[in-house]
Amino acid sequence: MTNEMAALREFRSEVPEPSEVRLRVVEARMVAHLHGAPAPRRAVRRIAWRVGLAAGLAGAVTVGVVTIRHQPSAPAAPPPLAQPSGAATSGTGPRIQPVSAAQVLDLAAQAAQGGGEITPRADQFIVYESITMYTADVGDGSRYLYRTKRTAWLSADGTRTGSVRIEYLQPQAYPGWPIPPQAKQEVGRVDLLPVCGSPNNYVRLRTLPTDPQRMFAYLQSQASGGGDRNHRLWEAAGDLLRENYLPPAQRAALYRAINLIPGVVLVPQARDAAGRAGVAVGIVDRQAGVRDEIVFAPDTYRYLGERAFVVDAATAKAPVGSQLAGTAELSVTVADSAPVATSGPKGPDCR
Amino acid sequence: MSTPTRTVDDSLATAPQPSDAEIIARSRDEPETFALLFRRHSAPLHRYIARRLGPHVVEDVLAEVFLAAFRERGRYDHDRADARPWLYGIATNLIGRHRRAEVRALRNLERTGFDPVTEAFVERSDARVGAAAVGHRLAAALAGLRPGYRDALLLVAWGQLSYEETAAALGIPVGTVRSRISRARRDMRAALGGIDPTSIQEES
Repeated sequence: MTNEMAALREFRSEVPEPSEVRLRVVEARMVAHLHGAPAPRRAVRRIAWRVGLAAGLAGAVTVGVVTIRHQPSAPAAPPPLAQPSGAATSGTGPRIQPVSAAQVLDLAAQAAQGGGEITPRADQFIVYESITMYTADVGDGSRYLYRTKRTAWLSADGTRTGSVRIEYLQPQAYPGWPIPPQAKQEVGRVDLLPVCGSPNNYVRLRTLPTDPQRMFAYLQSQASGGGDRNHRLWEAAGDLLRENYLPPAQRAALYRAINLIPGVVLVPQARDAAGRAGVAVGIVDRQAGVRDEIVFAPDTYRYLGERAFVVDAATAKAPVGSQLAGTAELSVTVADSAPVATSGPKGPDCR
Repeated sequence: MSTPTRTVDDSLATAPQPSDAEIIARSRDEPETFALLFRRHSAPLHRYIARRLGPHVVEDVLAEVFLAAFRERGRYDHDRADARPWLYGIATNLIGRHRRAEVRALRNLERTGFDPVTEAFVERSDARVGAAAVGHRLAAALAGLRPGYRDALLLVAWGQLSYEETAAALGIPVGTVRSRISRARRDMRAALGGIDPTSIQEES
């Protein structure tokens, strides 16, 4: 061959690869823009959970037929709630069996004022422990449901570098699909990744409206873009709940704002990804062929997690009624610092 | 109020790694995982961008490459396990916004022998005999190439992409890549003229 390519390869070859330190700086800048950025297809937030994963889930997986439309009065007595676990029964007075999504959301809003809150300082971190199950859509056409134990340390005012620790647990099959071999290889792996610049930080969330109508207007402002308008409003609401600590007044307003989204239905029995019994509200995401749900504790109406169930087998490529979504928020606490998520030199602080 | 213990991030080095496609798929739900893609590909991309545009804009362009990739991640073709062609394609588009500056620097090198791109690293370069003359002529040839030709040539020569990967990066048929590179190489040969361009070993 000729020499011109060799000469070209030498041309400016003195330009070195960057130092680790400089790369970390760029990485931090990039990461600052990732967290809290709108997902391209939040609609397909397929938190994946297989039907019947936990014994006793059978009642919950038939929610497709027991959901009740948004309506002011009860058409009939809803199915009884699942038996709660012992810890979940230490509730607040007599159990009310909700008969509508509106009622669940109203109870959740009332309960938001009930105390038991954390009080982070601006310079602290809020620590969210959760388990999640989502779809891993592997490039070769296979897919499975990957499960993680996840801990996020998020700066209360968004100015400090936080981190998220992701531990991969045993995977599950995507309903009706074989588990690909690579699904098992990652079990036990732990990723520790930096997080900074969270736009939905606690200090900012404190400034959100405390009035339901104005909170709904805020959701509308966040729900730009195409697709199913109602589902986008729902997504905007979910973005405020997930790994976020909303002050009680804003939380109450948010729950009442969700009630203003058309198409929200009651799901009387819903277990979260930790197996805790609860009650949920949901909305159909036609683009994904699933119904997304937010699960509340049946007694305290505290937020427990999220789920998604197939309602359109052709779109979701899984049987109707199978569960493709499962998270559980296990704890929300306060810490003074976050683990350092970069090897080598200390990562730069968020600016 | 607990203070979490430090966790050593050493698992990344030993555990099996997910494919680029899988990282990108996951980043839909877990944006932070996109940092893994950055760690995997940023160093050579940084160098590629720096060789084209110099040290002053490289970090901005690099960050923008990954942010643009992040915004576009929903459209990533998951049959492509290796994200390099995708990332280099995005980088090519962003480098294209600095085309005038890129050509200006090459022309400057052609005329004066001073290369603003390498000035910061000049003490690290080998003092090769004849390198300066070759640099003048290569710079002239590169500056004279049409942008699509320069992109294809440099993705192969500096980005170390195959022709197929270059085609994927630029969104053009591989036949077009072949013809562009062969044309660009003819131009380079002509520019180098009678000079023996190298005391360098031939590439295969």
